[in-house]
Amino acid sequence: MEVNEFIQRYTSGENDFSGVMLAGVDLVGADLIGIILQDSNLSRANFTFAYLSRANLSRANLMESNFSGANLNQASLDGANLHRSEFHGAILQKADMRSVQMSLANLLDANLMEVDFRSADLSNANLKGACLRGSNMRQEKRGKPTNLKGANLDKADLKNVDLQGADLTRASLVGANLADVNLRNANLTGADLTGANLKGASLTDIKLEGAKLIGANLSNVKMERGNLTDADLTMANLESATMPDAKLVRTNLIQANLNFARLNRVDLSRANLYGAIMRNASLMDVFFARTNLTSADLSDSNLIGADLSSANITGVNFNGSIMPDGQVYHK
Amino acid sequence: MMVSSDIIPSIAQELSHSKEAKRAKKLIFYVSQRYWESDFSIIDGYSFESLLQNLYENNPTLDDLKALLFQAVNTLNRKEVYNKIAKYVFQRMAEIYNNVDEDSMSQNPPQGNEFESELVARIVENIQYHDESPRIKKLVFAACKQYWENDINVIEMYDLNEIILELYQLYPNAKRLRKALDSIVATINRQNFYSFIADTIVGELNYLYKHDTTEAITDDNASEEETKLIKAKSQDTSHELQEAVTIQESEVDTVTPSESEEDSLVVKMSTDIVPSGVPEGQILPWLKLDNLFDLKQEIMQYTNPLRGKILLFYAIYQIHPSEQHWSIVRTCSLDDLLIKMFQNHGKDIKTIEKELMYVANSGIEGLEPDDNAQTVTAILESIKHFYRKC
Repeated sequence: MEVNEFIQRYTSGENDFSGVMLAGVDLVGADLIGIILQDSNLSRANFTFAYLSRANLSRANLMESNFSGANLNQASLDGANLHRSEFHGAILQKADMRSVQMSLANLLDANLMEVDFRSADLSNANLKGACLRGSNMRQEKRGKPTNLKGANLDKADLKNVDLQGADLTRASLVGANLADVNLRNANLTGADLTGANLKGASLTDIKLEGAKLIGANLSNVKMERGNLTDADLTMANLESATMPDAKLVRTNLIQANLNFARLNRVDLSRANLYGAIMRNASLMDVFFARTNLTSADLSDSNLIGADLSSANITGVNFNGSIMPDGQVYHK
Repeated sequence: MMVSSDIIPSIAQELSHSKEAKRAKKLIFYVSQRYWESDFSIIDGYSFESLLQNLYENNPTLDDLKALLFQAVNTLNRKEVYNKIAKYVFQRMAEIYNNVDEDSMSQNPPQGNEFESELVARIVENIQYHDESPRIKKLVFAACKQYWENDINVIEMYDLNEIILELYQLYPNAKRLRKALDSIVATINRQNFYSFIADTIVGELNYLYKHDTTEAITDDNASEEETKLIKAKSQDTSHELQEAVTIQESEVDTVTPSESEEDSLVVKMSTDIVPSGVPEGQILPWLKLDNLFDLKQEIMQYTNPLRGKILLFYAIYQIHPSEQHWSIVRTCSLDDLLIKMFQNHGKDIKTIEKELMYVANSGIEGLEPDDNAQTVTAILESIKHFYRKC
């Protein structure tokens, strides 16, 4: 079909263009509200500032297409190929993006609120500054996890997003808003979360091996069995975090705030807690093998059953804490 | 490996037997004696070896040599020929400098800041892939080398990694870098657009500054020192400029004056640097970053994010739409634009409204004024909510 024919038929009221072949078509600013373009080939098409709300683009080939500033509110794009596509400043609110192939796409500052991204492939995509509040990236039973490997989510707003089981290996989340996010069983190995806000997040069984969390806010998180081996949490805020049975081997916690944190049975072997504040922390049965606790403040903490035999405790403040043998420490 | 002392005779030998021996000698004489001698009999009175030795002694680092050579070539006619010679000399001379470097390296081991180099690599990558890469490089180069190089090819000969590291060492915090960039921007054409470029550079270098925890402590009482630094710098620049001008005037070989590019230096360069009144603080005291997420969400909810960015961009940097296509906003973020706007106008909603409305009606390519007006209204309403929360 030729472009002219397509526009003519659309303007005369036709709506269903399933399977159409219009690769490279220029539809800048076009009003295509509610159009049906499923299974079509629209690769490299230009939809800049186009109106496509409630459009059906399911399973379409949209490789390298340009949707900058386009309005795709409630559109269906499930199963579409959006590799290297452009969604800079676009509106995708409530869109169906299940199982889209979106690797290397640019979604800078896009409105992605309430988008269904389950099983989507967003590997190495740019989602910097995008707003994803209320979007769904949860791994379904036997479903593929949402793939965000190497994605850039710096300063993205993921407040309250369901990311259970998502793959965020080596993703960048610098300064991102992850308050109250669900990251249970998610994989963030090698991710960069410097300065991110994870306040109140659910991080049970999370994988954070080698991740960077410098200055991150992890207060009130639930992180049972989280694996933070070799992670860098310098100056992170972990106040009132609940993280029993977590693995913090060789973790860097220099000057971190762990007041009121619950770390029962945590493995802190060879971790560095130089100058950390751990007042009123629950540290029962913690494994402090060769842990550096120099100048840490453990006052009023509970250390019953903890192994401090090989820890470096130079200058540690144990005032008022219950020591491994059950005795209260007094100066 | 060749010993340092053997390198100069070997270069001299090679050059004197090359096809372009005469031009090579002219060029080497030019850079080592710092003037263009048109009488070849005078030049011929010197040996290649003594000229090269002199060149080596007067340029303590390889970077100095590089700058000198390529600046010189730039003032000459038959650039291709001279460029080849300069490249050859540079490559061969590099052997001497590298030998020296290795010697000093063995004495004090490298400081080995892995983290820093990782960040620098990231910054370099960001700059290389930036849509405005050449302008960013020009401004970075100017801040680093203290002169304005208009020929991007010359700048490309430098390792951007090193330039960025040098810049970081020269300006130990974001404030100082900001001031230095502002003072350069104040002297060039297209100031508004270059202030955007300056913001981009500060934004990139912030990766480095943020990880430098010592900054916060030394930052406050440094203002006097900074002023001195900038004064010294501006003198430097004007001096260098004069030098460059004299070289060009005495240049005999010159035919075409270097093309006057849009970005070229205004001649009044650095005679009247006025300290800019832009607030320096990264974040204003009343501005809560957590709330910025809410503001952004509200803007995105009620209007088109891309249109919002475009209007904010033109309003903040006061660039006319005919000067710069809006696709440039792909290189900046809505966050940064909003913060910049609050830095410029604080809580002055009237001025913000006036400037946004002006831009909305200024005929931006492909954008309808009616749609723009809707966006302005949505942004203003969101900002009013935001102010109430702050």
